[in-house]
Parts: sequence; C-alpha cells; structure tokens
Amino acid sequence: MRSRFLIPPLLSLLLLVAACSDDDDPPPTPTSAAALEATATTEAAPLSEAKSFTGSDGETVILEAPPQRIVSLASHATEIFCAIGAGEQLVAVDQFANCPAGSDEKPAVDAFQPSVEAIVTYDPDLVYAWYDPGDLVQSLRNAGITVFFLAVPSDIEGLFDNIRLIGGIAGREDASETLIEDMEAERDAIVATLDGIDAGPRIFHESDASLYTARSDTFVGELYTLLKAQNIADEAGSPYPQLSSEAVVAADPEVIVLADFADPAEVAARPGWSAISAVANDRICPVNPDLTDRPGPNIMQGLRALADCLYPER
Amino acid sequence: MAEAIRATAAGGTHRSIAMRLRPATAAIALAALVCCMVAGTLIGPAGIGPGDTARVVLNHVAGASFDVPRQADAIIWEIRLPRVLLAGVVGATLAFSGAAYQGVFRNPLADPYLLGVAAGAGLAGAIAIVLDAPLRQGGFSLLPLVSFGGAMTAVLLAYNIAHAGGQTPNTTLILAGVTLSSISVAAISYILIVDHQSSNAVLSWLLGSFNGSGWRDLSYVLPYAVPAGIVVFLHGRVLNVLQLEESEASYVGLDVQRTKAIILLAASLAAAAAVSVVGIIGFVGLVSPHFVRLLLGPDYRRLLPVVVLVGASFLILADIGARSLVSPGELPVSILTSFVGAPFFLFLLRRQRRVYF
Amino acid sequence: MLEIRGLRVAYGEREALRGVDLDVAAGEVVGLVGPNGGGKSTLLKAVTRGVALKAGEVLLGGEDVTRLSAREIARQVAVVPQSPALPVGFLAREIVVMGRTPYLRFLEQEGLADYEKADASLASLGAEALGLRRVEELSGGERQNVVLARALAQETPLLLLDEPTANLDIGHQVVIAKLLRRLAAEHGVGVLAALHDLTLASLYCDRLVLLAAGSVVAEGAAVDVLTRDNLRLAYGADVAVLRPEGLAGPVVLPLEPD
Repeated sequence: MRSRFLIPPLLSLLLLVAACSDDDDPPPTPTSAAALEATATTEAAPLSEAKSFTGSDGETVILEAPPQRIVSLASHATEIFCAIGAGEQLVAVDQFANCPAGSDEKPAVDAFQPSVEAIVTYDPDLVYAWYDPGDLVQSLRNAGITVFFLAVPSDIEGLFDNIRLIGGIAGREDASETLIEDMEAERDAIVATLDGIDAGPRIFHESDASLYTARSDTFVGELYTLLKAQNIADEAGSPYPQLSSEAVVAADPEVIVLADFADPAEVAARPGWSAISAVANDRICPVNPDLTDRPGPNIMQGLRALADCLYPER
Repeated sequence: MAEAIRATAAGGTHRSIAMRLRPATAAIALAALVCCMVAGTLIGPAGIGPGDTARVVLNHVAGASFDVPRQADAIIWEIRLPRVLLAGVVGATLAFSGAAYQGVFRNPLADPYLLGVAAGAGLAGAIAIVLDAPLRQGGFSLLPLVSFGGAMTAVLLAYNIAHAGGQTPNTTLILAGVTLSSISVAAISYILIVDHQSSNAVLSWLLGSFNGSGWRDLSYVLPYAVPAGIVVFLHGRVLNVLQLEESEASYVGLDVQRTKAIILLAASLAAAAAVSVVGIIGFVGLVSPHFVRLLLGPDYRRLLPVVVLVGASFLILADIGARSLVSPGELPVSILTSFVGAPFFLFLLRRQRRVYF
Repeated sequence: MLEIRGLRVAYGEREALRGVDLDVAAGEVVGLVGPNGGGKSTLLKAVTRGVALKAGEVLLGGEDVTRLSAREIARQVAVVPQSPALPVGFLAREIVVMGRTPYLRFLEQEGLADYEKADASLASLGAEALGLRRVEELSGGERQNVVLARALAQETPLLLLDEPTANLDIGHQVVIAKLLRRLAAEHGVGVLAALHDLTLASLYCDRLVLLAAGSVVAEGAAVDVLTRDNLRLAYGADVAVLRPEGLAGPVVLPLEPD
C-alpha cells in the first residue's frame, strides 16, 4: 500500500530530470568576417513610410518603423536576424537558435509549447512565428500583439526571399542583401569546384537513428542536388520517409551522412551494413544538423561540410 | 472430440482425452507458419531472387559454398532472416503471454500489457532516449535492458499495489495496471512536448518496429521467452481450473494466489523481453488467443501450442507488410497489426456467434 | 471430522461470527439454518480457510485448518457453492473432472480413472446425460447438478453445501436431500448444508444448528431447535410450527399462528 505514495514524487523526479536535459550543440562558426563587419557598422535606417508584410496565413502586418522588441519563435528567423545585425532588436528567442557569438544571450522562449502570457510579458512589438500550436497566433493577436506568421522556406530561393523579407522588417535591407550575396558567392564557389563532374556519389542522409531521411525535394535534399549527389531516398513515397534497413543496404550508398549525432563506428556495425560501399570504404561523415537541416544563414556552411564529405579530394 | 469421449467412456482408447490436440488444426497452423517464414525470407524491398536467397541460406546453414553476391548475402543472412525469426518469436511470445493473461484474469480484453509492461518499457525507453543516455556501450545497446527494467518495475509495482492480506484481487490488479498506463501515457506525452528533437526516435520506439534488428536481438528475447513459455505451457491444466472463479478453484485444491503469481510473472517476463527489443506491438497478444479459441475451444492445453504458431504467423505477415507496402519506406508494424487484425477479428466473431467468456 | 471451537470472524468492524462452536461427525447430516446475513456463508467459508479467523479454531480430521495447504484441505472437504460460475465452452464432464484436481500432481493430466469417477458422480445424481453437453446450454438446476457432481468426484469425507436446493424444483430437492442422506449412511460422509428451507432441513438432517447474528441460537434435534420461541428469536417473526404424526421432524409454515 505504501508504494502507491511513491508514484507522485518518483514521477515528478522523472519529469524533472527529463525537463532539465539540455540540447548542447556546438555553436556553428560565425558568418564570414566581412559580413559581420558590414552589419556592425550599419545602423538601422529609419523608415520614411510604413511598410506592409503579408505572411503565409494571409494576414498583413503593417510596420511604421522597424520593431525593436522582437520575439522570434523560429530558429531560422532568429539566426537571420542575428546575421544581419538585428540581434539588438530581439528581446526573446526560441530555445534552439544559435545566434552568432558576439550577440548577447537572449532569454529563451519555448517555441513548441509557448505560453501566451510569457510572450506578453516581454511587451513585444512584433512576434515572428512559423508554427501555430493551439491557436497561439490568434491568442496573441487577441492580446493586441502584432504577429507575423511565415512558413519555413522550402528551397534556397525561398530562403533568400525570407532573408530579404526579414531585412525589410528589421530595417536592415542593405545587410540582408549583403548576406544574400555572400551566401550566393559561397554557394557558387563550392559548386564551381565540382566542374567536370557529371554525377556525384550515391548518398544516404540520416536524420534519425531509426533511419529517417529526406528526399531531393526537401531543403536539405536541394543541397545534395547542388552537389550532384544521388539521393537513395528518392524512390520513397513521402518527403521525409523512414527507410527499411534492407532498402538502405540494397541501395548501396557510397557516402553516409549522419545528421543525428550517431556514432559512425556503431552505424558501421549495424546488421548487414558491412556490405554497403560507404561502410566498406569508411565514408561515413557526421555533420551538424543545425547547419544542414535548418534553412538559415548558416546553410552554406552546411553545404561546405557536405561538399567536404562527398568530395574529400577537392 | 465427442466421438473420442464416447469411445473412451465405452472403454475404448487408453490416451487421456485432454492430451489429444485437434491434429488437423495444429498441423495447418504449423504449415501456415512455415509458409509465412518462407514468404518472409523471400519478400522484401531488395528484390533478391529466390535462387540467391536459397543459396545464401544453404551456405550458412548447411555449410555449402555457393557463389552469391556480397550484398545478397548481407541482406538475407544479416537482415531479413533474423528479422523474420524475431517477428516469429515475438509474435509467439505475445500470443502465449496474452493467452496466459486472459486465463488468469478471465477477461476477454486482457492482453500482455495489462499490468504495465508497455507502460513501464515505453516510459523507461523514452526517458533513456531523451536523456541521451549513453545507451551504446561498445557496440551494445542498453536500451533493451533499460526498458526491460522499466517493464518489470511497472508489473511488480502493480502487483504490490494490489496485494493485500494474502490476496491479489484481479480487479485491483487491473486498476493498478490501468493507472500505471495512464501515468506513463501522460509522462511520455510530456516528454515528447519538452524534447522535440527526440520525438521521432521516441515515437519509433513506442510504435514498435523490426527495422534494424539482427541476430543479437534474438539473443535478447529467447532467454526469457523460452523458459517463460515452458512455464506457461506446463500450467495448461491449471489455467483450465482457474477458469472457475477463484474461490471455486481453491475449493478443488489450487493455491490460487501462488499460481496466479507464477503464471503472471512468466508471462510478464516474456512480454517485457519482447517489448524491450522491438517496442510496443499491439493486437497480437489480444487477438491471437481469441482466434484460436474460436477454432479449438477454451481448453488451454489445446490452445497454447496453436496460439504460438498463430501469433508467430500473424506478426511475420504484418512485418512483411511493414517493409514492403511503402518500399523503400518502412511502416510501423503496429499500424499493420491493428488495421488488419481488427476487422478480421470482427469478421470471425460474426461468423461464429459463440462467445467464450 | 469437523470441529469448530469459539470461531470469531470479522469483516472490518462488523463481527460476522461471534464465537461459534459446531461439530460434524462422520456419517451425519447437519443442517445449518438461520436468517440471511446471520453468518451461514461465513461459517462455511471459514472451514476452507476462505476467510481470516479472528479467534477460535477449525479442525479438519483433527488438524488445524490454518496449517493445511489448499490441496490438503481439498482432500478433506468439498464445497458446493451457492451460485457457481461455470466457464463457457467446457463440457459438463470436463467441469466435473476438475474435482479430481487435488489428486493430480502438477504435471499430471486427468486419466481414464478420473473420467470414470466423474461419470459415476453424474450418474449418482441421475444426470449422466449432462456429461457431453456444453455448460452454457444447461438450466440452473442442471448446473447445480454439475457442481454437486464435481464435489462428489472430489471423494472427500466432508461435504459442505451452501443452499444446494435454492434453484431446484421440488422433485430435484428431494433427489438431492436423499442423496445427502445416502452419502452419509452408506459412505460415512459428513455433510454440513446451509439450508433456508426449514422444513426440508427438519426432515432430512440428523441435527440442526440455528445461527442468527453470528451466534448459535439453538442446536440439536429438529424438534428441539425449531420451536416458535427459537424462530422468533432468530428470524424476528412469529411462525407456525406443526408436528404431524409420523414425520421425522416438525414442519414450519410461513404463517402466523392464530
């Protein structure tokens, strides 16, 4: 009978431990030095007239002046704000973003289970959201807060448009154009090194140890397409499918990219995987998923990491 | 069966009636299982021909030395064959475990997860995944161990809660198990919300899958499943007597509380081992005993040998679907067992209106 | 055979039995009578260690019941419960043969001899035709026969029955009553039967024990136990007690005497 009373404290303990577990990814290296210098010296230009921005929910947001108290609930947006030097304009960000070193630590807001009250206490003049759990957006608007809702970009061109848009919101159009130019330049440079290659290696991009991956029509898939790689997931029926172990072995990728912090040695030891070329030739590369899977300003670093992985001799 | 009894009553055969299986049903079930195993070995996304498949199996099993492509060898021997065998073992385990639970609780809705095996294993596994616990030690995964511990903790907790004054009333046991399951569901939901990064991994774990299993997984399950299975099988006659209410079973001399504890412990250990290796697969433990009961009646001595064959076949077939229907993608096998098992079971119930409870 | 001394049983605060003494010897049929809730069922449960004893002792064949295992108890006493639950799908014969459980080792299965005894038990009740029928197809009286046959198959020196005639028509009541007498007389079985029909108890039992509110109100021959005063004390009702010529015991009528 007594054991019944142990359940609440035990459970609380378990929940507490789970809640305290932290996501410690190594922060990515900052954007190129030139870009940082450019953004540091540029002030936010005051707007001469009000600007309007229409989100993917069809609602239009009208800004008289660049907002100075932004709450960003989207990791990729947070990183873009920081990259264009608008870090000072953020008062609270989602808990996953990596602002480049140099910006102040911002208070974290739970972006997946956000509390309307918590957000309201920051007295924001703009909330940027991409995900709407439990009618969050409507609740915030009911509380009189301006919310801009935009879906995650699904390709690189979309990302550039997103950067332009954020530049417009923050009043840092020049910085955002610079950022885009730098990113394009870096992309072109990487792709140029692949001149003369008709077809790249067969790859398997592992987003999760239970063999989740991404097809070519996804954001990370586009990176591989740029690198002329052949994605073994392209036969699958959904953009982010879970593959069977057998299918991976049968497709015989030449390179395996681990975006899930799995241990390469342990991946190589999976049943039947010794027959995969990538395993036999020791071409398994761990990469940081924040660089490859997140459509933000650091995506070209992700592209470079993948290029190094696929073409080590270049 | 009636013939046999009349013959015996008239002084005919010497064999005790109860020991006589319905040979036809058992043989058919065995043949079905063999067919399923063969199908499981031949079917898969890799599209390996039957010739190569047979050659690989003969190479390893009969010491032959045929020439086979390296990839076919790896797929058939390292991936497909162990997967089929594991599906069969897990299906058989869940089936006899479910039959044992239904026998002890005399309840048609009982399944191996009633006392918290799924709740404990699920929660322990989810916590371990989310905490990023050092689950991989030198190529070994500790996840099965952790979730096994969770499963047995839950069962022992439920038993402890229900045990009072030398008795463990079934109703209290069920309530305790249901409560633990609710707590587990709530805790897991919370974990999924708090840690989004791991939600794919946790959900995959919870839904149950044979993807990525190998020979090692079999070695985790068999040491529990086989002895537990033997214990449950040996209790066949006793399970029949338990179908009388508990007071009546004790009137004929059965030590009801001790017997219940032994049977439930064996069934729980086996189910816990299965769940800890492949996750929570539903429906097999619930439906297989009912299916066999509709064919063979309520006598557990006839039921148990056939239910393991049926459970194994069912899960092997479901797993073939899991890896082939959205090839090269993979479906969670629980979805298949539910989608296929439920309507089939309803159909069977309508055809034979006898209800065994 | 069965000796009960100073038995006290309590369910929580409520005392169901307040110090009961009772004996059943081999070859005698003892009728346990009294109002509902008076403690009859509790007394029967105590014999097979089905309830915890607060005080007193129960001896089966001289042995303290709390020291015996379930198997040993089952070889000494067989119980016919009031409302048996018979699991669906089994044949009557298969239920009856479960009465042989106390004699089977763990791995042993029922043998030819066990089935013969089961059939014989059914035959002694005139119910051999029930053997191959499924239990869910049987009427209330037939089910009662099955459970009685199971108890007989247990071949115990003591037989306990809880309201065995409750669901039976008068013809079957007589069959059962005569069977009990025969078991006692020819096989030396001791019988303790809880009965609510006072007249039936009076006519067929050697001794009666009148139990009310957990205590024995009266005990002995039917003519001494079934008096207006005793019955008024036990049941709180004034009923007519007649003593017709040539009958073994008095007849109790649910009538207020003039």
